[in-house]
Amino acid sequence: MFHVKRADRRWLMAPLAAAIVLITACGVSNDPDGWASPLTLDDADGADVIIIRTDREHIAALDISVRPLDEAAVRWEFPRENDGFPGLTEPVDAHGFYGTPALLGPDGEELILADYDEGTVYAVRTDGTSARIIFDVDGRVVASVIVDPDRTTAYITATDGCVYAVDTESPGTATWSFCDPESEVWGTPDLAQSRTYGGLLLVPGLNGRVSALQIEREGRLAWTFQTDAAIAGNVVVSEGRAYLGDFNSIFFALDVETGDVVWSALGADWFWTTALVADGTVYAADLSGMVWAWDVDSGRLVWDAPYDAGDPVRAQPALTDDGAVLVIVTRKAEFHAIVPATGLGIWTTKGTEDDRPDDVLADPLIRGDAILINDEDGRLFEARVNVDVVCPVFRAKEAASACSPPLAAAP
Amino acid sequence: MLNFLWNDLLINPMINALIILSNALFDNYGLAIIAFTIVIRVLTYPLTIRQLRTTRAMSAMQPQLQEIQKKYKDPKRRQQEMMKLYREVGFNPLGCAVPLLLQFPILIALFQVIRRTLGTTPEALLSLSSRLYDWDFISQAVPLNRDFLTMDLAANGGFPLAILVGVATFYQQKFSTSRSGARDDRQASMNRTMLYMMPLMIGFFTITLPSGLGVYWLASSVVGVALAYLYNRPRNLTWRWFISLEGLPTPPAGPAPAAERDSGAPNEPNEPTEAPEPDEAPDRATTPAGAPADAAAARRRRRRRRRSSGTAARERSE
Repeated sequence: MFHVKRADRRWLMAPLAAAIVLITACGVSNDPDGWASPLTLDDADGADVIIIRTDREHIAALDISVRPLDEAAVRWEFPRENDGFPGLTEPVDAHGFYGTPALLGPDGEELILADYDEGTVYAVRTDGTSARIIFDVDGRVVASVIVDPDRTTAYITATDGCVYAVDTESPGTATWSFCDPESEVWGTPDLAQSRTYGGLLLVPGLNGRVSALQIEREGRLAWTFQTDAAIAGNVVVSEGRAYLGDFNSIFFALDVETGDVVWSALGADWFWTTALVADGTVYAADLSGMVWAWDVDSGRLVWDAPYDAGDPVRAQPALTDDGAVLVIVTRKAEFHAIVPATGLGIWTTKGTEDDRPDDVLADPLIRGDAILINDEDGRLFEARVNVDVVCPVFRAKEAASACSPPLAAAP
Repeated sequence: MLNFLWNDLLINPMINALIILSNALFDNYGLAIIAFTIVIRVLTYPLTIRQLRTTRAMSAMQPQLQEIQKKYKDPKRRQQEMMKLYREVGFNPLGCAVPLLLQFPILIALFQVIRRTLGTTPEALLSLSSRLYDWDFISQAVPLNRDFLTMDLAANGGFPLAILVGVATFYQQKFSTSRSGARDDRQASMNRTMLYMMPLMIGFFTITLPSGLGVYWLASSVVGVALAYLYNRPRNLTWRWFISLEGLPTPPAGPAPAAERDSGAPNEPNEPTEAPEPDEAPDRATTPAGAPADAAAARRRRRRRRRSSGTAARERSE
């Protein structure tokens, strides 16, 4: 029955070719790339080390005082080339790091990394000598893992709709957990201090519900707030207010004590950025590329009009150390320097035609006057606040083509 | 331009329509995929029918084509004879390819739309925002509820779904191909090969791709079976046929299938009045091998007689 004559073999190729064409033509990539943002490590031995995502499966510690940045600058990579890592008995099968790594331990000796696909949360020593698994969730992990101020308890949220409080000194089991089976959690929660409830963890749900969990009472619900649309962005807490935006293009300021809306403002598209709160102003960008600045008390637009960055913005707005420049990086990797008080543009730039960031979803890292961006390909780019040049500085263990003149190392 | 045609005129309207359907169908994305597939298949029904007609006509001409291939070794002459045969029976060789080519982009678009709307990764959901119309109820519907009949539509399809898809594809193939019998071994062999290759392949894809696509294939195949059944109206199907690797038995001599008569599809413009319609061609399968060739020869003789009698009449009138 299954014998195929030679003459007919070419006919077998027809459905096969059609299938290949179909799959190729339907090439919508569904691979999780991750958008973990870069992080500066606590300076252990005088080196200037940042943590970046080098591709969808790897995180690396990079000494950026070394120039040019090449393989010698890579302190360690997680996992290593054979997918293993000291301290782990099983190979690491990581696919996508979305959450920004968090420091753990009194002196920040460990780094928490959460793998999206497997839902495994690792603690990796910052010197790269060993790693351990601190928790495994049933779902996937999109949000960053939040660590309490003592850096001992980690709050892990997942797409199974649960929040797990894990004592990192006795890993593997959750001290307490809270689950909302109706919703996944993609946005990163934030810790708040309430006069009524004590410590709160504000968890944004993809079903548009914000749950305030009482930390001292094993995650008992303090209050909830429900929007009409999904919340995928992070919650930011500042001075008794929680700031977040939803897919209905509405940005909310909530009272941490009650969950009541203090004010709300209408954007132009979905909000997926993390808001930045500074000097009485909350800055947020939406996926239409509009950048907004609202007064924290009244919700009034501080600028005459929102700043139009032109392309979707997922990266968090960032202020330079002196607060003089607001930096916005669009998904298409266009850098915008804006005057924070007026919303007027200072400069706008992209990389050079042949070596520009590809797709930017991670938050920028500001170090002095340097703006560091980790694009979706895992490359690192650097811009300077006062120089409208974007310079490729690192590309997967190779020095990228350097700028001319080369930018100096950050102070 | 191509980007505008593909994305703004095809993909984006389909994405929004699918989300609206999901909203209307109790926030059930699985039902939305099924409903949307049915709508698309119904809209492309005329193309499907045209393709079925041409496939059947092609199948019916196989004996004559084989005879030509045996008779003429010179490729040029062979091609000329084949074109002559096509003209005689009013067959358009592009008639099969054009409907297929028109359906193909729609199917690819539907495939893409399902993958995009599933939003299986954060990046996919992020990219979806730029494709949605600025209507609140659409934004509120995202992300879509991916649970359907105990399945996560974004997770890879399981074996039960793959088996269902495979079986549905198998019967779609069976109902869409007619048995050529002993008169064309190669085509019969090809049909048999396709009958088990396609279900295996689509079943494999179902396991390796999001189950939402498996639901689409299942719905599409079931609709395909229904359309092919309505078009062919097969009779005397035995249980043995349902488990065999044969296409539909060729219908007995008679008028064109009911569905085709109902569709009112026009004949080919160059179809000669005395030549049989392409859809009548399968009727000849009931005659012994070689009979259709004899019939064609008889038609040629009749035409020659008419031409000569016409010439004689003109001569007489002169």
